[in-house]
Amino acid sequence: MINKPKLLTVFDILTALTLLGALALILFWTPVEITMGPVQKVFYFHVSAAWAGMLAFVAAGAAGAGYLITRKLHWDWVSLSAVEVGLVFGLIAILSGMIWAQPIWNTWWVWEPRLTTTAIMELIYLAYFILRSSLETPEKRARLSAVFAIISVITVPLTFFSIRLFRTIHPVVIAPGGGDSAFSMTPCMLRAFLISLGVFTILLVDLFWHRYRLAKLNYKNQTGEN
Amino acid sequence: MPANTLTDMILGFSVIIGILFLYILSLTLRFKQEKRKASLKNRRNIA
Repeated sequence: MINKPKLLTVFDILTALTLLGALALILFWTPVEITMGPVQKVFYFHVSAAWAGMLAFVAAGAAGAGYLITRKLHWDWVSLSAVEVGLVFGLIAILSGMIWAQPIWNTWWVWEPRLTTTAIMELIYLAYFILRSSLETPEKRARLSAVFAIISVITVPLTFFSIRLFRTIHPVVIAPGGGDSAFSMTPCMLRAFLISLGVFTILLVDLFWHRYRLAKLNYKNQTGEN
Repeated sequence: MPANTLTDMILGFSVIIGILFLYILSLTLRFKQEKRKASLKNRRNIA
């Protein structure tokens, strides 16, 4: 357990290479958007980070359900790891979005539906750690955290669909038929976008794997199990 | 003509890479700490 598996080392290298490749692709291959200029390129990683964060939160909810059904603690480690990694990606999405918004909307933050629901989602998952730290026994902590992770999943579709359900100034990236607010991409942009989504999914799995190993080792140290 | 937002783009990517770097660093340090605890525990058990 303590020694790093060879497969994880290979996966680390693969993740680093694909991330660097995606960054180079975005910086040197994708065209500069005609109105927004170079800052639009942040969009590729911004949306990908939001996607990875939401995926992690859904996985945390599923792992919570896994724990409640099986009562096996490794599901709790999965849930904990997914929430922490999801929070990191959520933070990346929020901060990169703010940096994009400053020159485009002329403000760092607007209380519009997408930004508000994203902030709420992030705060709810932060509360997950407050809950965990207030519970002593591993079983009780795992049980209540699992319930919390399952209930919190509701914020994911709420955040995702907020720009479709409410009036908003946030661009809609994926709009069937292309709405008024749909962000139109050239084929080259679309390819870079899809590649970024894939790379961030790989990054999510890699970081999750590391966090899971940490959770497992932490548990063993606390309980004295070998 | 596109808006001159090159500085914002550099800031955006720096923040993204910076957060990822800090998180990886935090994971590495926490894992090392747990590893140290585990080896101390093992030594105590042997003694």
